[in-house]
Amino acid sequence: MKTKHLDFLRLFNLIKIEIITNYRTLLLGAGAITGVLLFLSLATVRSSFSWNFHDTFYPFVLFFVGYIFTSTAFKELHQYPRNYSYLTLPASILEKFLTKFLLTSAGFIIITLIGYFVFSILAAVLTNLVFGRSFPLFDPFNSDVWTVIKVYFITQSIFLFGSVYFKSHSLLKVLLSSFLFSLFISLLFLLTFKIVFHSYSMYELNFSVDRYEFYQMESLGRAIATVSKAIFHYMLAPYFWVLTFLRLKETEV
Amino acid sequence: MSLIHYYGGKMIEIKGLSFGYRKKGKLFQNLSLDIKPGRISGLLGKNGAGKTTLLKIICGLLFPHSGECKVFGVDSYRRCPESLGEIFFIPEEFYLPSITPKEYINAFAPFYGRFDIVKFNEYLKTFEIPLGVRLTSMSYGQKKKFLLAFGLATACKILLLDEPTNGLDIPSKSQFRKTLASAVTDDRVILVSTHQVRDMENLLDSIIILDNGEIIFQQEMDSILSKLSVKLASDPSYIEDVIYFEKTLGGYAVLTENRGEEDTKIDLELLFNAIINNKERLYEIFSKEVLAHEN
Repeated sequence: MKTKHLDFLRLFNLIKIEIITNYRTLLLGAGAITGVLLFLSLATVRSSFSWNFHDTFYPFVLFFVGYIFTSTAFKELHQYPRNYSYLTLPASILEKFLTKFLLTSAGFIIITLIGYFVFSILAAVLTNLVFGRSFPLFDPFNSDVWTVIKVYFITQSIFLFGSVYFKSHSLLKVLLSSFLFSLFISLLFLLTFKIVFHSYSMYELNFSVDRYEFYQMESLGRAIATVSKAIFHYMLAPYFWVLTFLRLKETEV
Repeated sequence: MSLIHYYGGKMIEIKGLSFGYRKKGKLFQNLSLDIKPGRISGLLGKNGAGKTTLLKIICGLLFPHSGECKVFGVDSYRRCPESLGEIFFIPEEFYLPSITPKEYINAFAPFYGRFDIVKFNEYLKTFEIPLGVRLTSMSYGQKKKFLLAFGLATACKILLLDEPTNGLDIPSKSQFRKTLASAVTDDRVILVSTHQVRDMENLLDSIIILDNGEIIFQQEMDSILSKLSVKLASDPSYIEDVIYFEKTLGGYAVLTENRGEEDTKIDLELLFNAIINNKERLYEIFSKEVLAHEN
């Protein structure tokens, strides 16, 4: 497929550049993480925790490593004179955006699924050889794993935007901004709560709400929850993808 | 249809361009420039005149505040892949990844449709670039020559070079001049921004001088040579039609109007200083030609 803004051959070539220029660092990182995980699997194989090992560490690898990886996605844009060669490379803004997006979302998810599965085989073999104990294999088709992946896929869009927006320490700045935003939302809810229940004293023991009022509030609460879920699942990621694209388009050196 | 045919041969067109930096204020105001292909154009100017900024605007690294900068008829700020595929910019400071030349070609050459691997290898041989080492292990001069070899092999129609001779040793400067001269074609714009005018003497076909955000002088070298001449004198007051003079070892270098159609060599440094210091006189001399053409 080839249009003015999207040529799959150019997209493929951009992905190839990412792999050729970064594979050494990526292999080194993957090796270090596998080493740490193998050590932890050996250290925990005798405890009952080993049966929950993958429930804890797969999300940890996905989120922790994934957010770090995503936060450095657009590092070229903020490094002089690296930004010169990146921005003058003959590819469209859409192709440059899609390369980073695909590598940090779908690409990273597929690699962690395969990599983590291979690690779990290694861990099972190693623990059996060293301690003669069995270690559970990682099941990539488990529904819990896919719930975690879905959450990663949505939330990484914020870190992708952070990587294009912030010139340095984008991971920390995104975390701080997210914390401040959550704090603001919590305060907003607290304020709303205060306004709604202003007639009741905090220390009043006989705290009763009119049944009709209660049902009204309950349905309002459900509506807010449904809207919030819909925003999170269907709007949050596209919103940040669009912002990332626009920011990339407007970047100057 | 290629971009060049589509745009009828006009490669870079700058009209009424305004640009400035937030802290430094306006740099260009209503700047217009038309750079012709088939020659090596030298972009000269004092520090901070805006030479590098102009190159960055042409390749879409900076956006004009108003006016337009079009490359093959497309606004450069759009960074359209077709026009970017026809521009190769070698900045004064550049980045090369920690990979071998072979890996670099494998990764970056596919973006340039007319990349010529045979020519690239020839350039590498001329520049004596080692192939087995990583690009990051090379010296600054070797890296620059590698990038120049790559840029020339892309067969891009626009080659923008910012201070290309900085960091090159004496033999490399000579190789650079020969290679660049051989790369000139009728449909190629080579724009060189430099302070090192002596390195560029005999190489430039036209001169563009930028001062205080304005193009104060743009002439073909042939026209300059036919109108100006440089003389050495112990006392400049004995020479007629003096435009500008500077003290040199053993006397004065004097820039005069070339009335006798003498065949002289132009000292670019002297010419640059003359334009900065006495541009009205030079305008007078060069406007005669314009008036003659108009009549």
